Amino acid sequence: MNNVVLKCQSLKKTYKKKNRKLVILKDINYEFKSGHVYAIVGKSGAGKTTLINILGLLKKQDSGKIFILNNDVSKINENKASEIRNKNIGFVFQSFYLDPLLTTEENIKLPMLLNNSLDKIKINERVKKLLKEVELEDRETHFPKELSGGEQQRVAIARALANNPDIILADEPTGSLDPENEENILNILKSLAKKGKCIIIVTHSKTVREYADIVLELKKGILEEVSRD
Amino acid sequence: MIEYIKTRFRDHHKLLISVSLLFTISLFILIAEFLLSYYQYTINKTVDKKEANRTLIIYNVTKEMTNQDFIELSKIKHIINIYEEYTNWNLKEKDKIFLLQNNYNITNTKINIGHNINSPNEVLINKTAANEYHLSIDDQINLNDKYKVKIVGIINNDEIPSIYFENKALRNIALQEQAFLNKMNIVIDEYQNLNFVIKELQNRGYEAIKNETLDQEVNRLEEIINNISFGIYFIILFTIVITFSIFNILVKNEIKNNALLKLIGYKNKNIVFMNFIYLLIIIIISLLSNSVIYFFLKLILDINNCFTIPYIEYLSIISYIFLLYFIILVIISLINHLKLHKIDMLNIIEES
Amino acid sequence: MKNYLILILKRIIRDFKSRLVILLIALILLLGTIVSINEKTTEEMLSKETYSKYHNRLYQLVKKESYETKKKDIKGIPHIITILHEYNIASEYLSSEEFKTPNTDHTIQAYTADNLSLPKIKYGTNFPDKQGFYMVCPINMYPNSNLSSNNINFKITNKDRIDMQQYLNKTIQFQFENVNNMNIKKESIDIKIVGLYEVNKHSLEDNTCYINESAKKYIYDTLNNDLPSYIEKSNPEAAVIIIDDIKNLEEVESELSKIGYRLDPYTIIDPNFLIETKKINKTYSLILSIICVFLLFLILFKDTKNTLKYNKLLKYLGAKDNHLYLTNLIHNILIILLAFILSLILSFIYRGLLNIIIYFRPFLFSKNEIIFSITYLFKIFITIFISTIIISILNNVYIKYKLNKN
Repeated sequence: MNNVVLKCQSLKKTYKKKNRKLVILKDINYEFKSGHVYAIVGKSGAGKTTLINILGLLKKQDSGKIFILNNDVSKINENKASEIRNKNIGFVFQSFYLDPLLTTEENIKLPMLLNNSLDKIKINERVKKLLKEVELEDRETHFPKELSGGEQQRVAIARALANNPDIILADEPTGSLDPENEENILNILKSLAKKGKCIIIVTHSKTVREYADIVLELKKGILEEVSRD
Repeated sequence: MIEYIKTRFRDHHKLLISVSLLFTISLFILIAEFLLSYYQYTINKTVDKKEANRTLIIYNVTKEMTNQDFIELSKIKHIINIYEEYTNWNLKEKDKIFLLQNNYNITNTKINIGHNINSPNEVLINKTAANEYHLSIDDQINLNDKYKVKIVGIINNDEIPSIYFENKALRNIALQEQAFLNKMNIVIDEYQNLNFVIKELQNRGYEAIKNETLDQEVNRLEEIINNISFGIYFIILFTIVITFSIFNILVKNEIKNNALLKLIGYKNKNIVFMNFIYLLIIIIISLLSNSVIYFFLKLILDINNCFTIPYIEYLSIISYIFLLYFIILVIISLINHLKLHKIDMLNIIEES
Repeated sequence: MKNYLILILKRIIRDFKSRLVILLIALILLLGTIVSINEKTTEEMLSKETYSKYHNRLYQLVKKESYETKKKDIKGIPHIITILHEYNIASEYLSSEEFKTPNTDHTIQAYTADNLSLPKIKYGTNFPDKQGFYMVCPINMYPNSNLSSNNINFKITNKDRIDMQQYLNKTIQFQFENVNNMNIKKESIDIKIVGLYEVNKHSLEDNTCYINESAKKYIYDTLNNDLPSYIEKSNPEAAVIIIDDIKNLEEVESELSKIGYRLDPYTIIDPNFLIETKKINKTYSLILSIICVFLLFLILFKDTKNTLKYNKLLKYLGAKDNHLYLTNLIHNILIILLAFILSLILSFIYRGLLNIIIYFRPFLFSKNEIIFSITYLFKIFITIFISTIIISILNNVYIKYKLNKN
């Protein structure tokens, strides 16, 4: 607990369009610790999604360093990045992003199948365990279209937890949910933090701000801690 | 509505795929149709290859032919050549008797010594005449004290001593001598025009008959080709089935957008109409590309003999393909219209 | 890995769009199959037309030389099997009570041949040198004067065939009819069966036997001795040559014209027509098949957008690039496999339907069977398989480009 799981040093990202240069991230420096829920807020277009993509190793920064579990992952190749994403990071999205052709159980299984170190029995056991954690045991064989918004997001969280990652990156996870479901999801995320995960949520929601342990604001390319209100 | 249709063309990937699909199918049908017409072309070519198949024979000419009569006959459309035979007529030089013959079916391989006739006062003789009358190349003969001719070739043929004239010269002599016309061979351009020419000849008082094996040959050839063509018709029919499926998929791709439009408040018939126009434009683009490529190829490739397909036929085939596509589009659109009444709008939109 | 494959398969089957694509691909494969069926059947039919008639390879040698002189002149010209006297060309109908079977009239058609023009003998020998009347028969002979039938379902059953091996080296008495002035006189001839040959599958020669020249001369003389004088006997100088294959006709014609001979065909149809039609058919069928493969290309390419979306999701979950490419490749291969199996089933149904339709419309394709080539199916499968891999590679390049762009 309280270990630094994700560290960024002097991250910079610029977008070039024709002759114009757009500086999205100027100088991001921060250490994300396990056991905490972080909320990243900021105006629309400030670069929150870009930041999440860079932290999730989906985009390469122009300069600066990223450390995941004290390993420098700034300049690793694509394959290594995928491996780290598979084992150490879990994603949750606003539109759930579940595979409509797979059942709940299969959606949760998907990341585990990409990880060759688990065998069939262990996978099935783990899926059952995760379903229990998100309280969806009776929805094992349902397809996403047969679930409500809240249920779908819970499946997405279970999927994000598939390989027991240390970091959960969530982009507006409660954006499509009603207040009751929002609270539900945030409770789940909070309990995960208590179990030692590092939860980083990008959000506009006031409720999320209140749930988070630390609130960071992305303003003019810089990340700063702000108060929760 | 027009604005909405315009926006549909922004999806370049879908546009490219749809046009390519329809283009390919139209190409397929086109080639199958070409194959069918090419079979017919082959029959015609085969039959026309034998001159005998394109020849009408007139026996027993009832009136005495004058030069004018021949000129009138030559004017009949489709007639290429007229060859007469006066085989029972003789010409003499002193005690040398020659049977008067036409050189029209003497090919170079039949000429043993010398060459074929090049001008009206040149003649050929056969081996018998050469041996019996001690004649050879470059000898001059004076026939009937009227016709001075030079021998330019000897034919390897052991029949009665004969002398061969080129058709025009022969005709002149025959007219002057009032020779008895045994047979007239009328050669026309294509066997398909035989009936027309027979009628024309009949109108002028000539009874012409076709070569006796012609009908048999044509029937046999057509029987074979009909059998083969059956398979091609089946292929085309099957291609139509596939076209149906493709149109079905293209229309089904629009379900989500249609549901959205319905939600916004468009009427069913307007939605169907917009889909219809969109696909109609795609059809036109694909067929136009087909035409462009066809004419481009026609300019570049040397399409003689093997692939000569008349311009008019191509247009008719393309029109037929367009009609086919149009009808299928109409049917699928109607089905779409019926289905629009039933769709679960929200479900479809949420399923993204 | 196996579980992952099963997951991919499940995704394909559950997606109705994928099902439509599979159906469409199966239909296109079927179209290709139909094109090939058509080509093969047509080729068979044209081959039968070309080779079934003995007369297709016969040509009358025209020049006013005697039969013996002609024989000497054509020595050494390639592709000419042999030269026969014209009177040998017509066949004779010979019947014998020995060859009685339930549905036949125990009559065979006897053509004349010499040792050069006999078909390949499987049992027994060629015509021996010593004098006598000899015959070569099909191994499983069908002793009926009329072989062809307008009923396309006509097939020679085994009980109407005779296994001629039991008659090898036996002498049989045959009867032939002498029709003269409305009287029918039955003449007989004793012929020894010296050899048996296997009937060419293209030909309609199950009732055809070959007799030697002296046997034919005997029959000819017997028949012609009673002829009234006004019926002309065959031209003693007329000779007929047999060419080994129709495609060599042009060469033979040019060689003969050099020594002053001309050829007159016995057939009505110009054999070149058959050869040319075969070529046209093959060319066009090839073009049509290529278009089918191109269609498949397009169908598989259509899916790219959805694949892109799915690949993005997998990337989020940590799939490596190679993994993505492999997934896409396997996805396409599975679709092709399923489509192929479906098309196989549809092909068999199609063939059955076609046979039913043809049964009720006997003049179409008349006596020809629909040729369904299994080897073609496997050939096309390999082509499609390779094409799929190529398309997948192209697709992956496109997807890689798009993913990197974002």
